[in-house]
Amino acid sequence: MSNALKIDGLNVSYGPIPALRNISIEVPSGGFVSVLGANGAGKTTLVRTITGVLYLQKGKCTSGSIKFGGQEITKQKSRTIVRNGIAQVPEGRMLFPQLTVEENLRCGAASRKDASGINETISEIFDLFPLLAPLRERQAGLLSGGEQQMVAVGRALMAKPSLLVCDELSLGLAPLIVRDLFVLLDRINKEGVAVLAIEQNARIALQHSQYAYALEVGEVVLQGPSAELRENEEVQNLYMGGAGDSQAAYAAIRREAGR
Amino acid sequence: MNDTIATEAPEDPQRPSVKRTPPARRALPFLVALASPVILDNIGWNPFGGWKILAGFIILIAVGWFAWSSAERDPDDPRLALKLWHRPDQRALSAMTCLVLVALPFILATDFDPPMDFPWNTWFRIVNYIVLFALGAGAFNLLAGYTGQLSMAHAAFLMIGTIVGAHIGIIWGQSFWLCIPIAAFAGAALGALFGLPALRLRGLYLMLATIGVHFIVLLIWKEYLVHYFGFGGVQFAAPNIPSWLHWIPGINSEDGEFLINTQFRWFWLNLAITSLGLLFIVNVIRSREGRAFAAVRDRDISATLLGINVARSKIVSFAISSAMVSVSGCLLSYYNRARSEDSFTLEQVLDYGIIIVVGGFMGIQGAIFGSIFFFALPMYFEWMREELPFISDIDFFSRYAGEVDLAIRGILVVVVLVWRPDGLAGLWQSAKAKLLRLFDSQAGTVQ
Repeated sequence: MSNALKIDGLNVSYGPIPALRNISIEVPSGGFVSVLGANGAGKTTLVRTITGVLYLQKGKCTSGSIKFGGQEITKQKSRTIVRNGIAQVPEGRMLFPQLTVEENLRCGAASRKDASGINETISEIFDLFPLLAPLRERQAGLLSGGEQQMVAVGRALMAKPSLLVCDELSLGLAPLIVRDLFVLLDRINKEGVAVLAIEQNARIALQHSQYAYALEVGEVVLQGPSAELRENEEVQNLYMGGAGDSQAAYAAIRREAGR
Repeated sequence: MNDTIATEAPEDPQRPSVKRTPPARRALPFLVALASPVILDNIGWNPFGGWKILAGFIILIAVGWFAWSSAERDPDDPRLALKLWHRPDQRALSAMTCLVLVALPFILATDFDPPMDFPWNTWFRIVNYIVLFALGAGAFNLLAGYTGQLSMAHAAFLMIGTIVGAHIGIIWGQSFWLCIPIAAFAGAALGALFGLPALRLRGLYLMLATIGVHFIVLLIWKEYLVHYFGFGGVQFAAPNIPSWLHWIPGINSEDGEFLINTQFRWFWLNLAITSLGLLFIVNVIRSREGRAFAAVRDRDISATLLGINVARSKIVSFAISSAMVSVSGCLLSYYNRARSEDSFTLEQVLDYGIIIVVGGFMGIQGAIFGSIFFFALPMYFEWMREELPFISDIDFFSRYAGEVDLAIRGILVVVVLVWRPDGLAGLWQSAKAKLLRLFDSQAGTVQ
């Protein structure tokens, strides 16, 4: 069974305000895809739509479809989506600050029922993040930002997903730690888990992903293999603080996007 | 590169593997302790209050040591953090607490006369209330502290438990032992029903909605009371232990019945039910369900993203908590012997609130410490007011006794909360950690 995520012609709006317009994105089974975009580009809305929590912000998917492994998931509850194999590392980590690291990890296995399998996965997570092992009984709220992000990734992996959606993994973290985290994402990806990284940090995202999309005001304005996009002047100017006239390039893209 | 990351796992300094003390060495102090009453009696040494007190302390410490040294830890066990008593200090304290609880009624039943007219047998009533309220407070804590659902419908479930107890025990004339499980089921069902507003409301809004629940049930309670028992209120009969259970040691049959009608007998019943209830709460907290509760409290969006059914968690928490409160209400009514129209007030919910806020929101320790604070202090104040020189001379204190007690309690609540926002349980945790560091430099893994 293929576990590809296929988003087709997705339109999402918050009341009268459109947030995503005609988005089509594809994450192949076992692939590593990144979605770039500035603030307000619709990245978070995209994640919310995929994981089924759009209703919490009173958003509505007006048309289009999201298919995961050939199954329509647009209208499904988020716990069904998690059980089907999509786990999310939420923006800003969103750990449970008063629970310990291990309890946080166990919360991630809420969709699973096999106790021995859960214990096994916990050992695997501690193997993957050896830094977390000594912190097992520490309160999650007391960890450093990087450690918290590791717990957040580990917690998402506890559900044994076939697609990991990372929302702003680099948010508020030192560049060195971001690099380590992406190396780990690569490793997770090599073990067969597809990764969809929603990122503002285009440089690192393009380095690690195979394919990338750029969102701008709710629309996909650029897409292509990451290696190509990395060479693209527009992308360099917009997302990597390139040497060119970024203001002009930004205005051009805005115009293209119809604003 | 990746491999080096994996192999560079830092040596875990907090979790050394502890070797088990050999059984002979463990048993030695225990045997000495058991022999100590005999030894002390023969020596004829008679310090304050007699050798029995000293022997009691020696046995207590020996039991603690035995439990402490029996701890064995497997640092690689992933279920470690979930185990109920894997740490030496946990074992020692649980064993010592059990011993104290078993010894307590026997000690309180003696005619020991402490100096300065310090009350002795009167404490029995206080201890029973502490035990009974610990169950209700623990259940309240599960809902308000652990799941973060601020409910004011606590007294409502005390009423429901009382109604079940009165109807089954008195109107239908059935056994008291039938009332308890039925009170639990009724509480769970109605708790799930009254918890429905929690799916839409939170914080203060939920609180207001549950105050509504309180007054609805209050109306039902008053109507029920007037309809079946008149204005005088309900009189509950003492529970009877059925004759087929009379083989249990300590139960001596008096014409085929054994009534639970003394403080001493009530203590055992209260202790048994409260222990079972609190153990259940602890196990819920340690389970998948309990973690889901905490996840809902901390960040419900995050919980949703992990596949936790937030609505179900809230309802289950309401049901479990209400079932226990209902049981404690039934038990409290039977213990009090009488219930009338004005037995249940909204203020009672505040009492439970004070208990868990002062005790500390996390775990069941808060409920226990809070109940002790809530009941033992007024008793202590009363003694101070009447017996201590200087204080007993002040006319104002004896004239406004109740008000002064309340005021002092209020001040103490403020002091405790400013000093330790995590309550008495937090104070206890940090004191224990300090003590442990003195004892054993390797055991300081207490959070």
